[in-house]
Amino acid sequence: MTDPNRPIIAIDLGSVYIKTVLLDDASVPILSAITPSGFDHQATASRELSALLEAAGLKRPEVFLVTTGFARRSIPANLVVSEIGAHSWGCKHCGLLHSAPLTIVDIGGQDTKLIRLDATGRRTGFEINSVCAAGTGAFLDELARRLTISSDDFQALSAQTSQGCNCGSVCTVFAMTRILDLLQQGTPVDQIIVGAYQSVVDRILELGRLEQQVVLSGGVVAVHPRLAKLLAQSTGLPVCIAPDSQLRGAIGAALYAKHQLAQGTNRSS
Amino acid sequence: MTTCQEPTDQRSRLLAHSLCKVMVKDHYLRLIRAVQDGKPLAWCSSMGPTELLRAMGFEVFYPENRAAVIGAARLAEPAIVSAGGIGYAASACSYMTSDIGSARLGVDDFAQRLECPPIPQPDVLVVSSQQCREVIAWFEYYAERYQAPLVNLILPNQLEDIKPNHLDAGVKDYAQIIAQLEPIVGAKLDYSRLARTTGLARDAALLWRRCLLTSKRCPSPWSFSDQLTLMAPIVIMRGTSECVEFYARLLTELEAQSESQQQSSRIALYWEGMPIWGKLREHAEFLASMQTDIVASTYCQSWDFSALEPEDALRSSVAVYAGLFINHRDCWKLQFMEEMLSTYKPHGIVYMNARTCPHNSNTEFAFPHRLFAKTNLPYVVIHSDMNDLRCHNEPLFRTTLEAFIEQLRENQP
Repeated sequence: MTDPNRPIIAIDLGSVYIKTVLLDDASVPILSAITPSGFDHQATASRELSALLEAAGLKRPEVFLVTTGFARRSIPANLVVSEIGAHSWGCKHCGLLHSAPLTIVDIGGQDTKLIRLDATGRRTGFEINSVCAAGTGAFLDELARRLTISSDDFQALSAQTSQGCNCGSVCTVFAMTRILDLLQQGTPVDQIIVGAYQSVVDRILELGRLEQQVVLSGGVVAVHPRLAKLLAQSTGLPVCIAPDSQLRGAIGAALYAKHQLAQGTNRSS
Repeated sequence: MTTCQEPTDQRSRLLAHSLCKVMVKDHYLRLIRAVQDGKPLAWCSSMGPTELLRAMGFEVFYPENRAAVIGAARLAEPAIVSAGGIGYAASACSYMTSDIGSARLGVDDFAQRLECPPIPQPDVLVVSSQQCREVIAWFEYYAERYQAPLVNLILPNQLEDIKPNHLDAGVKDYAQIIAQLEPIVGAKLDYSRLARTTGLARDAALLWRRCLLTSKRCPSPWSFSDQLTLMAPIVIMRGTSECVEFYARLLTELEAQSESQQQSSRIALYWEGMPIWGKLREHAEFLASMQTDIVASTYCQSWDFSALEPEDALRSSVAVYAGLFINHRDCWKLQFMEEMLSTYKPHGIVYMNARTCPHNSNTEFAFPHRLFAKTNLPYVVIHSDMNDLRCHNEPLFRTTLEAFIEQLRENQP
């Protein structure tokens, strides 16, 4: 039988960043790290796991490892959970579920997910954007690259205006063409950035209905918090950003593992 | 450790697969010989009046079946690109572009896969109007290419219910196409022969339906991949005694398989929409690793032509072919889906949004929302295509299904 009190390490192998956390007995992350995924998720995750084990003074057999994220099956683990499951668990256990349905919006590097929980925290449905990367972190990264500005500058520039221009939201390539056209017409960059944020928000709205309380999770909102304000303006709903939003998937995976260990339902290891 | 999904499909491979493979090959070899010996050949749309054509003495070939074979062999992409070169858009039906593109490239992937000579050119093309606009455009291409006559069976479409006037109009149109076909075959339609082929098609359909119903048991004795592969005879050979015999044997095997299996806790899904032909085996293994079965699908159900009546062959043929799921209004489709969900009792529904087949994708007009409002059954939408794998994102597909199955498991009482 698996010891239900084993320390739990969770690794979220995202498309852009790999996030690792070690939970303590009270389900609080005591160690964590965020590092670029690089092109070899397996190597990066293995390195991060070794570093975390060393920092915690633990050996691999002593811990229960759970993985999630885009490349969740690229390293051996005791348990695997989808990123939708991980963010559900992460967000329902961060003090945001208050007897009302919750919608989690996880804006990731390559896809955006909209996850619905009922008032009891039960997952009732979800949507993922289709094949195009419009409305994801990749879209904002591409815009930053085109404008040759950093993420920090991106955020600072967006704070200078409340006015955004219409960049379109159907397709990343179309939006970029539109943005180049706007630049040539002399549209200020800050308005273009706010317009790009609005196009991300529009894609979220197109994904499906949002329930009463909305929480944004994942790495993109950690870097682009203005998205929360714009989504609140567009919907009239309370929108907040999950604490440790970039680590929220990893934390959720760890909480899921803890639950599974407590239930004694995991079939692996 | 769970690095890879564990193969957990304990079902033994159905013997029917070997029989089906041999039967299909023999069917095409016999068809080719018959045509070489002077029998006329009709190329027909999949939901066309095959019983009539067989009764009139035609051999019958289905370009749609060829397109699906090209898709399953993952050979569609260069053909689709080639079709684009002559003006068939990448967003158009990928069955059509796969098939037309293959013809344009001069590669016969279909014949190579089946290890048989190329299918002969058609003496006539018969297309029925109720399926989609694309299949008509597809047949027009071949009519021009081979300078063959194109006969279009006009059936009423987008129906709520089939009414007597619909049947009357369809029977009238049958009379017209019979008049067009008789000179090609050089003989009058023998109505007793039509009754016989219609009866055989009906008998095969009744058996096919019973085969599908074996999936009500948990675990299902066959996978979705099995169903899609073993539906080949009902698609290409209905109206023949071989087809009836095949499904009688398959039913016996499925029932035996079902009795030999132990009950287990598996997630059961309903698949609404087109299959992803190039991923059949891969997805079958993936679902097996997730202890999940697709127990029923609109697609496989669409070949249940058990309402055919030999004693009223033409009228019942109109009712059956105009009565396809695809040819109904959403109110009817919602009711049909409710009946299917009641019969098969899945835990959830997977809607497939086929990028190049909007006509057969029920995801764009709030259909999933409307059915959910009626049934409260969870659903998920995946975006892919039946043949064009450029529209398919495998990691996204797996994440979507894994997350959905997790959700269904977590919410089980």
